[in-house]
Amino acid sequence: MRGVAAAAQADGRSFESIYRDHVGRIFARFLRFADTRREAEDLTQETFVRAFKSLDSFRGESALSTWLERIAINVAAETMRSAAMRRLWIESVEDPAASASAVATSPEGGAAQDVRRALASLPKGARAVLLLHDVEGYRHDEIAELLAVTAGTSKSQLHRARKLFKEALER
Amino acid sequence: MSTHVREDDLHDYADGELTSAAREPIDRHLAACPICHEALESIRRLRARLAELPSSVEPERDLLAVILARVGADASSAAAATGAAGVASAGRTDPVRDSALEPGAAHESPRSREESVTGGGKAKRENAGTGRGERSSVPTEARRLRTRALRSLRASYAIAAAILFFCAGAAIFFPRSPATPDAASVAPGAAPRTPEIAGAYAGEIGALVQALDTRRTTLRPETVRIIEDNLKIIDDAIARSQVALEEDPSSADLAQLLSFAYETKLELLRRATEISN
Repeated sequence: MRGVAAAAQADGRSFESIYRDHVGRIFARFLRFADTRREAEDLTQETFVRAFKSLDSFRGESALSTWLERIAINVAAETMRSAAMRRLWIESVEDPAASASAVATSPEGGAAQDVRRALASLPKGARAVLLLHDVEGYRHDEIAELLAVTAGTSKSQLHRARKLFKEALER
Repeated sequence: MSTHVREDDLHDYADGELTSAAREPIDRHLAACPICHEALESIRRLRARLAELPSSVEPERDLLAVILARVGADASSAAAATGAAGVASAGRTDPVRDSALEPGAAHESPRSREESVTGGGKAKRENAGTGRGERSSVPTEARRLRTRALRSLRASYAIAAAILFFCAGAAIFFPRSPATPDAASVAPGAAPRTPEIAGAYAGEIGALVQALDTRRTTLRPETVRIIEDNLKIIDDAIARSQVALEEDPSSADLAQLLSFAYETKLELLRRATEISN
């Protein structure tokens, strides 16, 4: 065992270095999408597992951070495309318990805490569209493909999400 | 335009999704209507508020160990399934298979709308279709990074394999466990198959799971979570080894790998039960 451990040590621990350099940004992104920190952790794990298993497809044409962030969006989108999540598209009632859970354990305070609380109060589908469009910079046709909905649904969800987000911030 | 701008149109205007012909009357109206002007500014302020969320947050738990264990387990079972020596290609997936993942990728025309508040969505698609596999075109830095990282994976895999070997070795050289498949139940010269191996461990594993279940409340939630996470990893390794063995039932190596995985599960359950006592 000592020899194996020494070999890992001598290798420079590239995986660890990649993880340490990027986990903060990936986890921060999932904290916005997820209902709970645990869910954000699970999505973060999944992103790095996929990345480490596919490093040989990374061709260095973009920054490693960009590549990782795209994998993260893919992971988030897959979760949102699941059958259970699809039902949320037509639900307008939030889950106060889940929202409270996400906000109660969020590390930041002040303005960011208010934003996170308002975001967490949105129905998950509307929240996803708001984040993908206004934070990640995706267009409605792209969001439609990611989430397996129509572009019209994406647009109407965005307008609704902004309205709910504004109301929640003013509360 | 004498009436106020429709709300949907204001959103589209703010997002730069209107043609110049559609924008023109709205421009004129906004210049003269403080109510609509304020509504537009309100939409823009909302987008700005989203930028207040931190761009980096460290998770409270260190996730690296579980991530490496999962990568190692997948590499292990994939290598076992294919008989391939190289770990580098094991468990390979295409993490960016969906073309819609790159913001703006669906269209050639430049985006005309206002920039996203965070500057997100500027990524260019890595690994887009035809370029894959053209190793000669891979920049040196990327090759170096991949090589180092894959060496690291091999090292992690080696550690995982060493742990498995230790557990299994203990069972082979110190046959204290009644769970080892009974040689008499397996035809001479034949490798034990999936049901035989699973059956050999089922009794003790079942009893330990039951014992652990009854004592679950005596453990801290964090401990329970770690145990469950580890069991999930091992169960995944068992499932993959089973599939590989069913595809190649004559392989003694695969049978041994499956036994190793069961032995690891047994060891974890024993330790967890001891802790809960």
